[in-house]
Amino acid sequence: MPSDRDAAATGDAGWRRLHPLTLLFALGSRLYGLRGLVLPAGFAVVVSHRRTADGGWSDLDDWLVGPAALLLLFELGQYFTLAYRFDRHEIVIKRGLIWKRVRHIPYARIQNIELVQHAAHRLAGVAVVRLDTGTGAGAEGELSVLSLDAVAELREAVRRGRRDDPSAAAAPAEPEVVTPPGVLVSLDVRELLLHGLLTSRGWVVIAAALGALWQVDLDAWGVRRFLPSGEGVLGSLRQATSTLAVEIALIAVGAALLFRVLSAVWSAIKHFDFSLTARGDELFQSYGLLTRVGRTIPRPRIQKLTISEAPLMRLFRRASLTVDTAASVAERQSQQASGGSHVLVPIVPSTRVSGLIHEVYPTGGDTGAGVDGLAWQGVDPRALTRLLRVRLVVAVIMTAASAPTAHWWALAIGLTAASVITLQAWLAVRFTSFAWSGDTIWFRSGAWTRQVSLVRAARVQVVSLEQSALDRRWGMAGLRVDTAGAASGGHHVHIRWLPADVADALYARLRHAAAP
Amino acid sequence: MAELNRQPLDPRSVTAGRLGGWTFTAILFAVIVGGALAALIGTGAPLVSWLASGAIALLIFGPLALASQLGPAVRYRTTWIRLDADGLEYEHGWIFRHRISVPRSRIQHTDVTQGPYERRFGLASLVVYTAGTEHASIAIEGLSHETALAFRDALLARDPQAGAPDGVGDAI
Repeated sequence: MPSDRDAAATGDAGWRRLHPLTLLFALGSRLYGLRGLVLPAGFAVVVSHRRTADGGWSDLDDWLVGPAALLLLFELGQYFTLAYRFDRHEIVIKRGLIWKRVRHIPYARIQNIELVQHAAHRLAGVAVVRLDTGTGAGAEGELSVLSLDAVAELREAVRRGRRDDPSAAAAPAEPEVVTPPGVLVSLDVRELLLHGLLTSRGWVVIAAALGALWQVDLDAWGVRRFLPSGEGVLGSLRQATSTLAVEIALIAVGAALLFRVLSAVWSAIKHFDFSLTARGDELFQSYGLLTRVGRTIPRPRIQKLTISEAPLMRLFRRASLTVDTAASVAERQSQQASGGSHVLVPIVPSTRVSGLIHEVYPTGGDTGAGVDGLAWQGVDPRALTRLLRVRLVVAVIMTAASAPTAHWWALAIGLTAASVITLQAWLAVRFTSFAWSGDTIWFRSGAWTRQVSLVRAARVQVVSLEQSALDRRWGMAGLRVDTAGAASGGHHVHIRWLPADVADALYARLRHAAAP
Repeated sequence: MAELNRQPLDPRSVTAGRLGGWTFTAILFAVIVGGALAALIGTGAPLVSWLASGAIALLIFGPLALASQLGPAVRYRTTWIRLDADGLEYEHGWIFRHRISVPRSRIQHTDVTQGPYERRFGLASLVVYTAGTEHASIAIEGLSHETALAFRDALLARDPQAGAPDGVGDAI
C-alpha cells in the first residue's frame, strides 16, 4: 500500500495541481455568488469617486480593499493547497492549509465522471470535473478547473485503475431469481376505485380544485350563479335540522363521504391501467390516464421493500408495496426529497404479498411460508412496564401542573391522557417485532397502519446498536439498519426495546451477514 | 485482509478537545459579554440589569465551560474503533451509546482531516462515507494521526491472495 505521508508533506512525487486559470474561475464564481453585495459596492465606489473631485482614493476604497485582499488570499490558498495524485487503486485529493483534508476515492467506487463546461470554460479549454461515488452525503471529489489534457489523463487513470481492480468489474454476485417475463400485477378500475376509497387521498383533489378555482375569475365568468353559496347550504341545513350538533355532524359526514368519492376518482385516474411487469432483471411499471408514467426499476437496485396495511385496507385484506432504490447519479439530483422511494404496487390482495416479494426482492431463506410464516420475535416482555412507568410519570406531572388553572377538569384530562397513553404503549409494544430469515432482516411495526420492511443483508449499509441511559437501566437496546435511498419519514428498520442480549446477537449476526 | 484491534482515542485528544472547546467558549464570551457590557455601560443601566445579565451569562457559559472541560474526557473514555473481518466498528457516546458497524465493501471513500489543534497534537479525524441515508458519513474524531492513517490504509487495502477482493460487487 503506497503511503502518501511523505509525499503529502513535501508536495512532490506525482502530485498534480489544478489548472492555473483556476484562480480566475474561482474568483469569478465567488464574485458571481456575492453579486448581491458586489454590484452595489461597485456602484458605490463609482459614485464616491465622482464626489472626490481629483478621482483619487476615497474612504470607501479603503473599506473595500481589505475584503478584496482577503478573498484573493483565500482563493490563492485554496489553489496552492489543492493537489491530487493517482495511486494504484485510488485517486487521492488533498486540500486545505489550516484544516487539512486528504480524501481517498477508490477507482472501483467511481460511478460517474461528470464534466461541466460553461462558455468561459470552453474558451479557455478547461473543465470542471466531478467524481461521483454515489454516497448518500452527496459531496465527493470536485476538481475545478482542469485542462482538457488533465481530464483525459484522469479518465485514463480511472479506466486503468478499474481494469486492474477486479472488484470494479465483478457483477453483483447474488442468487438472483430470474423469472420469465410476465405481468406480475395488473389493476382494473374496480380495484383502483377501492384503493382510492380505502386510502382517502381526497385532499389531493380538493387542493387541486381550490388551486384551479383560485386561478379562475368566478365573477367575470358568471360561474358563481351556478355554485351553491356557503350561507345557502347552511341555511337549508338549519331549516331541515333542529340543533347545531346535528348540523355539524351532517356536514362532517358529508365532507368525509365527498372526500372518499373524490379519492376514488383520483386513484382511478392516476393509476389507470396499472401494470407491473418483470423483464429479466428489470421491473417495469406503467400507469396513468392523464399523465402516463413508465418507470423501470432494476431489481438489483432495490434496497428495501415495505409492505403497508392501512386500517381500511386491512379490512378488505389489501396491502400496498413500496420500494427504495439506489438512484443513479443523474436521477439523484431530481429526487432529493423522496430519496429513491417509489410505490411499487398501490393495492394488492394480502394473499399475494408473499409471492410478490419473492418475485420482486428474492430473499434466500424464504421457504415460501410467507410473511406470517416467519419466526417473528417480539420486544422485551418488560417493555410495556417500562413505557408505562415513564409515560405515566409524565402524565401525572402534567396533570399536577395544569391543576391550578384547570381545577377538576385536570383530573379528567389526566385520566383520559393516562388511558390513551396506556393503550398506545400497549399497541406499540404488541405490534413491534422482527424476524431473521437467513439473509434478510424483517421489521414489523404499527398498530393502525401496519408496516413490514425487509432488507437483505447484501443491501445493508450500516448497522448500529443503540443504548440510551434508560435502555441500560432496563437491560435493553435498540438496533437500526441504514440503507441507501431511504426517504425521510418512511418506514425504516429501527427495532427498539429489545433485550440487550438479543440486540447484541442480532447486531453481530447482521454485521457478519452484511460483510461479503 | 487487514485487521486492527480495538483501539481507544489518543489521550492527547482530551487536551486538544478542551483547547478547542475553550477557544469556542472564549470567542463566544468575548462577543456576547463584550456586547452586553457596552450596552450596560452605554445606557447607564441600574444594578438590577447588571445582576440579571450576570445571571444569564452564568447560565449560558457555565454549562458551556463545563462541557468544554469534561466533554473531551468523556469522549476519550467512551470511544473506541476497530477493524475486523466483518468491517469497521466504532462505538461512542455516554448517555446514548452507539455502536456502528460498516462493512468494508460499503465504504465509498474516506477522508483524513486535520484542524489546527489536531495538527499541533498529532491528531486526525477519519471520515468514512457510505451510500446510506442516515449514516452517509461517519466521522471519528480524536484519533492519533498514525491510527487514522493505519485504519484508512487497512480499509482500502486489497488482499492479493484472495481471488475475489474485499469489494465483491457494488456497494449498492
